[in-house]
Amino acid sequence: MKYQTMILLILGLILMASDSLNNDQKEIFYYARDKKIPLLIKENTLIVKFIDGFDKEKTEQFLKGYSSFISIKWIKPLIAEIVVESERLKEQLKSELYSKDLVYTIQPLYTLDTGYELIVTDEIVLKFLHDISFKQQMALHKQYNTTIIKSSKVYNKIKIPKGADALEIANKYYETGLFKFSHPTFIGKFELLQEIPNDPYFNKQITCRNTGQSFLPDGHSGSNDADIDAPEAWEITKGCSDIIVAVLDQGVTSNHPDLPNTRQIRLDESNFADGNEDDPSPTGNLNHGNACAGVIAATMNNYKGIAGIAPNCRIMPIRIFNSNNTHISYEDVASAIVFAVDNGAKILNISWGAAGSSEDVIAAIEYAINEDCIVVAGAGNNALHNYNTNGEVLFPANVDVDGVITVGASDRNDDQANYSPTSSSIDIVAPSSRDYSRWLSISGEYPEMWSIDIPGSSGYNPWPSEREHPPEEDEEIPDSESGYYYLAFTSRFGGTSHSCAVVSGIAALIVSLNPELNSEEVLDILKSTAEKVGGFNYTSGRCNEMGYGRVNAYQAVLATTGGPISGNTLLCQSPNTTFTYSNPPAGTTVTWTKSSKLEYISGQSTNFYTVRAYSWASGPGWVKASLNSACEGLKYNVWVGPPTLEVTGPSEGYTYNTYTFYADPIGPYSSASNYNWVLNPEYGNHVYNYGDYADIAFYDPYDGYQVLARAQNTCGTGNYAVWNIFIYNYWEEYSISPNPASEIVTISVAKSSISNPTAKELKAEDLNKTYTIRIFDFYGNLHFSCIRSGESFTIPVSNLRDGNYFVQINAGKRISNLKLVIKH
Amino acid sequence: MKAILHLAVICGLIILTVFSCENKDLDDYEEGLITGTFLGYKLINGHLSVDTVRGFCILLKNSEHSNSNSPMDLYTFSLPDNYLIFPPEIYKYRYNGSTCGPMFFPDSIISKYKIMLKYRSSTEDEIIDFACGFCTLDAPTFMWQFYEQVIIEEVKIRLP
Repeated sequence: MKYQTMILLILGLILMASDSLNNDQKEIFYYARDKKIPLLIKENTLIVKFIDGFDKEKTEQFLKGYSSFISIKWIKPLIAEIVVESERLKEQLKSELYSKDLVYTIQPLYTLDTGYELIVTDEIVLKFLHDISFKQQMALHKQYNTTIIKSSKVYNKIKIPKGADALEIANKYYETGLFKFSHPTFIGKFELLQEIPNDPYFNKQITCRNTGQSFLPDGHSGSNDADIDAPEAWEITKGCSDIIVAVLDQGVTSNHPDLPNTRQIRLDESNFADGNEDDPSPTGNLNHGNACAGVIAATMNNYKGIAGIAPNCRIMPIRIFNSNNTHISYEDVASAIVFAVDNGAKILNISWGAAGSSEDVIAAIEYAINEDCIVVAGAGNNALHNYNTNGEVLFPANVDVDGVITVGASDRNDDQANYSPTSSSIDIVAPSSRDYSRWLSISGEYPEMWSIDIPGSSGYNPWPSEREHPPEEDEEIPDSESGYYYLAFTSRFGGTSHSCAVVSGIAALIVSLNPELNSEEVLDILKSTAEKVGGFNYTSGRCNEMGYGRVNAYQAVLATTGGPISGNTLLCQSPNTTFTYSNPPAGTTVTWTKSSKLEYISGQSTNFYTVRAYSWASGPGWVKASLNSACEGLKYNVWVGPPTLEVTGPSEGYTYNTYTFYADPIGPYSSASNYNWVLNPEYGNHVYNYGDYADIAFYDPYDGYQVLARAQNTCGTGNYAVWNIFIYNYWEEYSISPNPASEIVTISVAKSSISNPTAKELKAEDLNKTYTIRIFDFYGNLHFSCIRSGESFTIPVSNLRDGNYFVQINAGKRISNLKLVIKH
Repeated sequence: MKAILHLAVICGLIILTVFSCENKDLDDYEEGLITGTFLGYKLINGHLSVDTVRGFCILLKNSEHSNSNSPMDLYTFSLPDNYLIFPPEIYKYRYNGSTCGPMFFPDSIISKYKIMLKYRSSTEDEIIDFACGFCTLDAPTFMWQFYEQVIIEEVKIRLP
């Protein structure tokens, strides 16, 4: 019994210790603009940078032999992402790789809280503050044993020692207070080309990009890829300004900071409800129209709020709800629809519904469809699946008119939203909130989709949420535009209204690529490209819960364009280059456009387009194929003519030093080779050409050297790119005393700069040199060796026999010999 | 003096009779509150018409819905006109444009209209087919099917 008690006590202590260890887990972060950006470590994953010249094949064999579950993905020729089945194996593998001397560094795979993966290897990007002396800089590099591998006007790049932790060193550097910035060189990891907007709330728009990130306001996190792939779609199109989406609703705020009037079509007589007939602005707290409009087309990359799904398309606000949130007459609703169609709207967003139908409204919808408008309608929110209530699709989403797109809601995990009806009328679903806070609903669920709000204290934010959900701190963007920016965004949108707006946005992207598509054709594209999510039984491609599935914007725009375009990526003046546009949709006319460096030869309106480079041209270029004269099309990027380089390196230095300069080709397709480096004037300096970089050893001072580089490709030799460097003169004289000596000698270094009219005065403390001191006898035998730094230093000589010696002082590029006499 | 005594006895008997009748009568009533109102558009063959009907929401005593977002158990179109004196703005309420449901009274008056009522379920012939107009789809659509449409047979203002 005593023995058992003892075991329990020990177990308890172990548990407590492990708990305390967990609580003491190290905070992981990097510094960016004075802020700590938290990082997470991806489990079971290593980022390995192998040493140059390692045997890839043998290494892979070794790794695969190590564990049958191992996964190896090569990020770059020397960098691999390795995933094993457990943390324990990860640590074992790490030790083994280091012991085999195969690797330079092994780092974890970091992720941001958004789930975005950041790869760190062995480099740090940094910039010292302006007044930090060269000596201080070098002292720090020496302390951490780092090596400068690139210097430019805007940053330096250093390499950490073998086996070191790049994140730890970068943070220690920054914490000295000597840096403007210091963080590891992050290699972003994208599966596809994606355009990530700079809008501050984009990370919370899980509809557009869901990486499983935790998002406000409720701290929920979704499932990776339960989204519409908007960033991937934006690589193809962000929409055209002549595609107009009519939002028939409660009105849209005039000149909203994220949807200015330049991006709205605000027409006279577009208010069919009470108030000024020429002003379709919302009244009171009625923000529903704004919320729909923001999801569809809020401005992207303006550093404000959110990004709309079709951020280049425009919104036509039509107000059909009165100030007390009741609708206008059915005849007037019908008139509003006809008004939108007659004034150029290509898409009608109908995020409202009713239990009964109206002949007037049906007739107006038929008119819109016949005019090739795309009609998108929300299904309604009257299901309660957790209580086996399937709900029903409301009017007009349930109208029996071919081409009306009936949209249900999926949630952040690609499940059916609890309120989204199960019905044979559902065509597709799009992401929205999971449920509402209401009687019988799923506990802890609220509308949590982001959009724009009436600026200031009205609208969704903080009303009506103020009683239950006051705005989160993040929802209160600080006043930056005379108060108009404040509370201009909300996180409390949801329902099939949101899903409907998502589909309207995608439809806007689709017709931006082919404006001649009608509603049925757009619906066909959406159906055929939707993802069959939710685990339902899709019979012949559809089920009543999710229709044809959850929409995918990227796949939809890709299917709209057909394609791809194929052809060379490097275009010269001769020979001509022909591009092929495969699989354009039937019945479409292909219109080709090109960048200005290319000369048209033949093929307009066909699938084959031939161009060549102008004789003078060098630089990036493109060809684009658009369908039916759409403003947007498939773009194909190329390089035109000989390569263009950009040279970077240090902007100043000292004689007797070697500096590295880099020549980076502009654009990925220039195929630059045969690099040529020139120093102008060359004088007695030496240029060591290593292809895309060069080391230049400076022996002669001059106030303005030009470092020039150019390269060749099959089109010819490019022009020289230039980098300027100032080299300051630097000279040292050494003296030994006493001489003759018996016990200790002192070596003094006198540093000076030769007068130069423009060079700045060199101060001895600017330099932090180390000197390798060796003492030889006259037969060349080494008797003493050490490394010293400073302006004077002592050497013990008491163990040297009497005689004559040479003291060799190696200061990098310059070696001096002094005579020393020992006499005891 | 004797006559006065007789009169007192008779009055007492009358009062007792009246009160005992009243109490016996009220035992057959249910207690409740009028908690909201709405304007329904009559549906004719499924189509929305311009004919409207004024409905009222009733929350019964000790209802499980007392503290919910929708404090009602029953709704009726048969509350006698002018039986309760509502402030005029109540009649401006049409319906909730975010839910297609009723407009519940504000907190300040939601407990004010106490009633005693006798009611029965509407028969199939009596049920009024209606809809509360168009509503936006950002809020949960009101679940009318969870609530009973009733005919009020008798109603009294509950004594405080």
